[in-house]
Amino acid sequence: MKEVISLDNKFAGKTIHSVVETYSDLLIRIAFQYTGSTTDAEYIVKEVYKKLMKYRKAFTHSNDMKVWLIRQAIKGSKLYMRSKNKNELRCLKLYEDDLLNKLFRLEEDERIILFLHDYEGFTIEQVKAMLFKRGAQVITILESGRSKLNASFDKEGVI
Amino acid sequence: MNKYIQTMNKIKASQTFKDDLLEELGKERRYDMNNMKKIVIGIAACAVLAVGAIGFNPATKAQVMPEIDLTERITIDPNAPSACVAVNLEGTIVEVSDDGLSFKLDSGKWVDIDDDTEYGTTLPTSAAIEDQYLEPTFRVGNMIAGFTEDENASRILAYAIYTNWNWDDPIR
Repeated sequence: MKEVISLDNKFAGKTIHSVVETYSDLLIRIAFQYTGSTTDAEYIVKEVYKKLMKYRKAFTHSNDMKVWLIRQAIKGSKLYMRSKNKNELRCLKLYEDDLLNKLFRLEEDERIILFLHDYEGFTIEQVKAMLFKRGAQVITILESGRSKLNASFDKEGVI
Repeated sequence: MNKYIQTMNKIKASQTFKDDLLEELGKERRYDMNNMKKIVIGIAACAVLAVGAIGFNPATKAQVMPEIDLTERITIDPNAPSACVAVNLEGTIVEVSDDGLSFKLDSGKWVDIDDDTEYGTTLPTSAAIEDQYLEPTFRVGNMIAGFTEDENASRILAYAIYTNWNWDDPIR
């Protein structure tokens, strides 16, 4: 039985155990959009949680914490990819799932916007705030990503 | 259910990852708490030694000193403001990009600034942001001190900029 770490309601009334259970899948999926590897994604997410533990402010609302975690995951992924120059390595990867092969032919921004909007259900305004982009820019990138992905599949499309 | 959602659903954090993570976070927290205890004990020991040294000093003994209740005087507040920033990004700007959001340091490294880059320090002991050595733009000749998460990257993304100042011709 693992120890439950309580940090005096620092995490919007949740324990770190519950935070990890609630947000890990989301954060892994975000980091995966950049790294294309669950191993790399796990490394990034681990660093995000370490930052959360050391974060000096307390979150009063779980939604604020969720957005903060997403921002840190995006930032951490970008830094990780930049520092390790993983882009070149990722190009050599071939996934069993054909959709992933096609997904990783999209631009980085297209993948993350598709994920945040179409999978996680964030509004254009929320995505815009998370990625520091203009609203029109997000819509253009989203439509371009969707059309590229749908075009690569013959009949019913993907999204 | 479309293919995209099905594929994304397959990407998950494994239970082993979560368990290992929680264990690691628990260890780190215990380690931090132990360090904090050591610091507090260290400060307390220093304070006792300092008081002892003063007490045994003949020059001070000669003076008539009132009796001091040490238990009341020595108070250790672990939450007292005390902070410093890590700096691993230093140099003088030798070139600035057209958009003004990147600059080259005399070390030859290009540094990028993005929306997440913190500008100035907000530590409890810091001066007000307007009193810090921060110019509104990056200029050739400015001294830079900051922090990056990866100082060895070919292009550095600045996590924070603490100083951006031209000592000869500063602009507020």
